[in-house]
Amino acid sequence: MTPFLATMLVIHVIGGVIAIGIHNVTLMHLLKKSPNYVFLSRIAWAAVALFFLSWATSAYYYVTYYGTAVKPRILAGALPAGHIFFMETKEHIFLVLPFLALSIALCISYLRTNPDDALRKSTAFLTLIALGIGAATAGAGIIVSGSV
Amino acid sequence: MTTSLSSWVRSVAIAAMVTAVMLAVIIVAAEEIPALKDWLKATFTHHWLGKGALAIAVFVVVTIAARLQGKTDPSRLASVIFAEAIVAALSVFAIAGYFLLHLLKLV
Repeated sequence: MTPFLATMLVIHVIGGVIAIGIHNVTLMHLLKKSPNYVFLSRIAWAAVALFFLSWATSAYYYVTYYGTAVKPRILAGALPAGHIFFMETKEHIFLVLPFLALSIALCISYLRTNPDDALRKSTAFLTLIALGIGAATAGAGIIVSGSV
Repeated sequence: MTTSLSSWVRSVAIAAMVTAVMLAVIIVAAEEIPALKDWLKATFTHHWLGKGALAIAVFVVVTIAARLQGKTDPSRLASVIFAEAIVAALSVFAIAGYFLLHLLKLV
């Protein structure tokens, strides 16, 4: 792996993990009756940027390196499910996440000027789903790494 | 400004729902129909890049179409966001379920 590819992979992982962490913080605050929407909107938009950054960097790594250098080793190794199930699922469910993050950030920006208890609860539920997808994606990534 | 923002909230939520469903359909279809996967590879250089590009295109088009559709009732935003969460979860379960069946050699 070249230093550039390694950098892309590190940005993908760290950017994604921070974005997932932000959704965790967002969910915890949305469960309060009067969250600090100014703070929440700032971090929610940061999560959007990080998910798109993570997507772009993962695309470069996945298309130029994973398929030729990593996937054959996983398929020939002790846990082919690392690719057949975990990588296939991870690479595809991730595609939903940036759009959910964008929706969450927009909801919170709206709530800044229009506090609405029902919308706060729905946004918290949407954030919980996004957090679940993010955690599943990260967990699958760890298994993929361990399958090489 | 408030009306405008509520319209964007609704439009993006609808677009995210449509995009999540489209992704689930195209991901499963590309595995089951080799010609579709080949078309994605030939058009976008890689099937995964093709799915991502189509997702962005669908999201942008549906967002703009929903935004142009008309006024938004802010009291219905909570229901739209709740529906978005359910649709996203179901789409993700469909994708994961398909690859689980694939692992078990049932599809």
